[in-house]
Amino acid sequence: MSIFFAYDGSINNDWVARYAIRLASHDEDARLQLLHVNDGTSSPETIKDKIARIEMESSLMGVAFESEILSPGAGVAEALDERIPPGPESLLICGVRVGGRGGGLFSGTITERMMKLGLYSVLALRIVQPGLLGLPGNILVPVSGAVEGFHSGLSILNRLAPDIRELFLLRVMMLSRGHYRQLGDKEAEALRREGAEYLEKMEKELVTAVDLSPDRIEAIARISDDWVKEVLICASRCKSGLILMEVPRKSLKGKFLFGDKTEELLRGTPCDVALYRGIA
Amino acid sequence: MAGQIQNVSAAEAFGFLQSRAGGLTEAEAQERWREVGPNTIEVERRFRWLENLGRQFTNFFTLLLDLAAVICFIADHIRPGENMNILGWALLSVSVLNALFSFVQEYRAERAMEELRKFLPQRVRAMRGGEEGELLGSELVPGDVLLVQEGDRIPADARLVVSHDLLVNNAPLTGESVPLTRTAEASEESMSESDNILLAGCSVLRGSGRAVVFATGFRTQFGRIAMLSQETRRHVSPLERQTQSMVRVLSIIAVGMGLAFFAYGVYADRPLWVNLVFMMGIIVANVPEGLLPTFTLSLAMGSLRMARRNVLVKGLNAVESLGAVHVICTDKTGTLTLNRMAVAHVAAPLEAEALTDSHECVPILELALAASEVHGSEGEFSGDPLDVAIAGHMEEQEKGGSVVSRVDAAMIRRFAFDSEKRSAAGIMTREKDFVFVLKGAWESLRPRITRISSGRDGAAGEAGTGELERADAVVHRLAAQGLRVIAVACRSLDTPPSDDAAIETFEHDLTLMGFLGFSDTLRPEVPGAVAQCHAAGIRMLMITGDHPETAEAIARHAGIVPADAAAGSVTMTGAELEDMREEQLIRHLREGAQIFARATPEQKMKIVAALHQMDLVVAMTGDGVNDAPALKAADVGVAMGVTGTDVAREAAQVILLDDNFASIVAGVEEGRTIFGNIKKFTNYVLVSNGPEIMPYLIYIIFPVPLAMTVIQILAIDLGTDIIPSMGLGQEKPDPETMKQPPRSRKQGLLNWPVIAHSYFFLGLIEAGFSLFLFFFVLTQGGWEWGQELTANDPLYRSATGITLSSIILMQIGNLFGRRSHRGSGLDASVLRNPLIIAGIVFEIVFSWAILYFPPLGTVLGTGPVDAAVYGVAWLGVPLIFGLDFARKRAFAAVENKTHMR
Repeated sequence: MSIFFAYDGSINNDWVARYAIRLASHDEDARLQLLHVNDGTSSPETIKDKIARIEMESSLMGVAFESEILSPGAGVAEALDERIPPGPESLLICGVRVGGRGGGLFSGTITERMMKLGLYSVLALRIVQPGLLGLPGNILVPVSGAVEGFHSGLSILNRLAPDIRELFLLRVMMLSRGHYRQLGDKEAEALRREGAEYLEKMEKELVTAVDLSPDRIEAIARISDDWVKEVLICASRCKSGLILMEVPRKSLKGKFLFGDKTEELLRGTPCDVALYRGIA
Repeated sequence: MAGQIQNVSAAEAFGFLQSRAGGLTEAEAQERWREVGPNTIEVERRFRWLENLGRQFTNFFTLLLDLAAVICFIADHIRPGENMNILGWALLSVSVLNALFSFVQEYRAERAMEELRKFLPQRVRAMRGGEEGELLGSELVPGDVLLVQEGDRIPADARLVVSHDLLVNNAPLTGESVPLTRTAEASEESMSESDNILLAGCSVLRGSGRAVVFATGFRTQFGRIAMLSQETRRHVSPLERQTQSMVRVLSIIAVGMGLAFFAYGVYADRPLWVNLVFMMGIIVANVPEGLLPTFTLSLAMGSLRMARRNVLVKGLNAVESLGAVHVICTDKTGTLTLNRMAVAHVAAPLEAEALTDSHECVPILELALAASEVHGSEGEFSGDPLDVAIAGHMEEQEKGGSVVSRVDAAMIRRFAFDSEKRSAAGIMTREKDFVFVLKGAWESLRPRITRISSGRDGAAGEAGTGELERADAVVHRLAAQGLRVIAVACRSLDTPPSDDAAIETFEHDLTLMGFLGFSDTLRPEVPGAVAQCHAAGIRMLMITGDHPETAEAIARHAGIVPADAAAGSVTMTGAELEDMREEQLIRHLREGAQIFARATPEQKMKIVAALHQMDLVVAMTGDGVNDAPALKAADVGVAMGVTGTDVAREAAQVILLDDNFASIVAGVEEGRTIFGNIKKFTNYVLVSNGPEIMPYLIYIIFPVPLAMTVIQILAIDLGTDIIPSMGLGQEKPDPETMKQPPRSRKQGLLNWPVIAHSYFFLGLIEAGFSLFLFFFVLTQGGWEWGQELTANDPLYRSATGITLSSIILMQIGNLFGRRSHRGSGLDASVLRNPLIIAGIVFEIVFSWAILYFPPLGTVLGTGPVDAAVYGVAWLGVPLIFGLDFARKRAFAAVENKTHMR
């Protein structure tokens, strides 16, 4: 797989670089290709210095490093699309940062657009714990029930696996607010069981597909009327260093409900967040 | 990249965080501030309060009251002058008051955040643009270089790059108050174990340093605790859940009946006004308007009674929740024990048996005291708890005398307790000799021991491997008894010690003189309280940071662990818990795990979550800052009033004013009594629904006048029923209360037997008798079947008056019956319940005033009847009481028969 790192020169991307290097280091050919679209927001000297630092860190990790400055042409997204070969063999790593158009961290950004296009796999990171240096230890993976999304994230999990101390699979059984408040014991029990059975299945697949022993995986099923809150609580409780989740497919189609949840999660997160969208 | 920020060198830490010794530039800081936000621990949720307020105003019961109010306003609009608008406002006021009260209760929970915020400094010293300056704490960003010194609170998680003799107190995060040294060297440990990390919320005790910030706000470890404290939702309390269920059932009945008969009225071609009044009447009759305010009053009074038993309740629902607990998770130190160390055992180096002769004990104690710092005399000592225990025990052995001043007089030098070496020392004169004494943990002293005193004869021999192993065995045996063991060793000095000689010059070739075993004394009332819990079917879990053997020993003394349980069979360690999945933990809990030793406060949440998965109601005690999330997650969070932090107190619903476990049990008893009483008055209140509904059903089906108006229904629900209900809410605990198992979460306030008893038995009796009087008065007054009467017709007013009056009187008979589930309810204790007496007096006076006090008659639309008819109405009291008592006897007979079989 070819790993590309879309670097914009921001401090968030400097921190994202650590994850990019680590992910590349677990690849067979351990290679990272940095792409910078020269849109004039940072001075060439600064970019050069920063890229040199990333190169140095890459070499320390034994990762072959290449960088390329792209001309913006029709736009940043177009420049990247032209350079990155489409298909499941390409993974683009980029940052999720404040200042995206529309005021959102994710919605309305180039990252979201590239995920929507679905030409290649995209992993977008928001870093709030730069001290982890891309080594989160515990990872929380909220699963939504969409099996295809879970499968598309396995290749990323595989790369993270060697550094994972413990992986928490979280399934939040969502209910409307009114329903949640009136939830009866029997129904709660049935929901819990449903969640646990789903997670058991996911866990089995995970153990088969990813180099993780069962004792490093914990499955948690919760019932809630507030998905974001449940994920954030769980991340704090599990001392998670990273929340890894597929961008809800509905959020890419329309943000009426689900897009806001992604934003809410990115803003309120106590740890780093990695949003991915893979292509089968 | 070697690992995380603590694993790299100080210089590399700067590089990885794109910072430098001179700090960030303003532009860099601003860019980062935009990325990660302010260094505050509050999760910003706009309009949270509005959301909470909205929730209170949209619950089922409130909506139902609102609906009834709207119908009143519509009715008033259609036919003004009937005072229906006043009724509407009354209903609306009840609805608003209920909602606002619940909102205020919930809003108070936010105060835990205010207490947490106090742990972070407002202003900090940091480097920016190469210069040292003062910043607002909220302005810090990752990469900022922080300057700390003695007395500072740490504003963010930071990696030390320079440390000068830095000593910190991490108690807010770890609960351990032992000071920790901090260096700037790279560490191989994880972030939480590393000694080059400063953690937000903690404080600097000594020294100074510089550190580069790597996490701010709610991304710090402290921030995560704050986030959990803020975001964790307390489970809906058992009472809330049962009330919701009851309200749902009653609402469905009320609205269903109202709509059905409205439709029937339209079909029967009755005027819209009549149909509306009818529908509203049905709804109002079905809704026990006074029940929720009475719940609140009953819980409030219960909380006052609890306060008298040293249980301060902050949230009213917790009053009852405490009575519903299935499991109490308790701390050990200070809750089960007095948190007062006492010397429980003095042992010679090679014999675990206790030395009983004071001539053998005193020399060891005297040496130990020489390595202690105690002030005071004659039982009034101050200092380290262990040192105080030594002085106290020595005074006891010597039967008084000023032991401390005697030892003080012999002292040359003292060396304070060294937390790293876990020992303290002193040099004293003894019979013209100089003696160096070292007192501390056995593991710390063991390598320095070369000789061992044989104890009883005072002779000392070489300390070979065999002797040291025998001493190890003594230590293990004492530890297994739950004792904290301190070793005492000494060495005679050949020459007088110089004043500036380092302690290391003395710490060798020591002679082991003996061991002291300390125990934290069990509170005397605890075994009794634990026995009460067992009898009440409440399970107890002990969660402590102590050694497993110490924890188990205390649990056995307290009676938490059965005497026949094998050693270690019910104990788990925090390390085991850490690696355990939730379902494994549930399995262990089902198999009887009771003690969690060496556990951290963070693990309490894991235990609470597992117990919740088991569908159990959990009470959890805690005192530290990091206990706050678990206190919030439990059904009943119990904070310690004496030793607890403000954060724990704010996060909890219940505060133990004396930190005593026995007070929790007293609270449980009070909570159970309150639930029992709530059941009694719910049953009482629902009985009057029967005679309130029946007139409307008869009115819509037959051509007869309406026997009760809406205002009369409210006179019962919001008037005469309130004081007797409150009286039932004040009934004393039943002796059987703490001998019953905790009720199931599924046990509701409103179930089929209650409905059948309230509506179809007592309700029908009240309805039948009151309607009999209604028609009796009507027919006596010349009314004929099918004849319509106006609201102001004196005959109609008299007839409705006697209906209302008789229902109120019959509620007196119902009141006595509700006092006891099986007995008559007529006993002397009724005289000790002033609210019941007041309620009865009020009902009698009101039943009379309705008929014969014109101003009240004008408001309620009632009129007088013959005194003889009013006298007949009184027969309703023995009628309902007698029939109900006969029912109880019949049920008891059937139960006995079944039991005999």
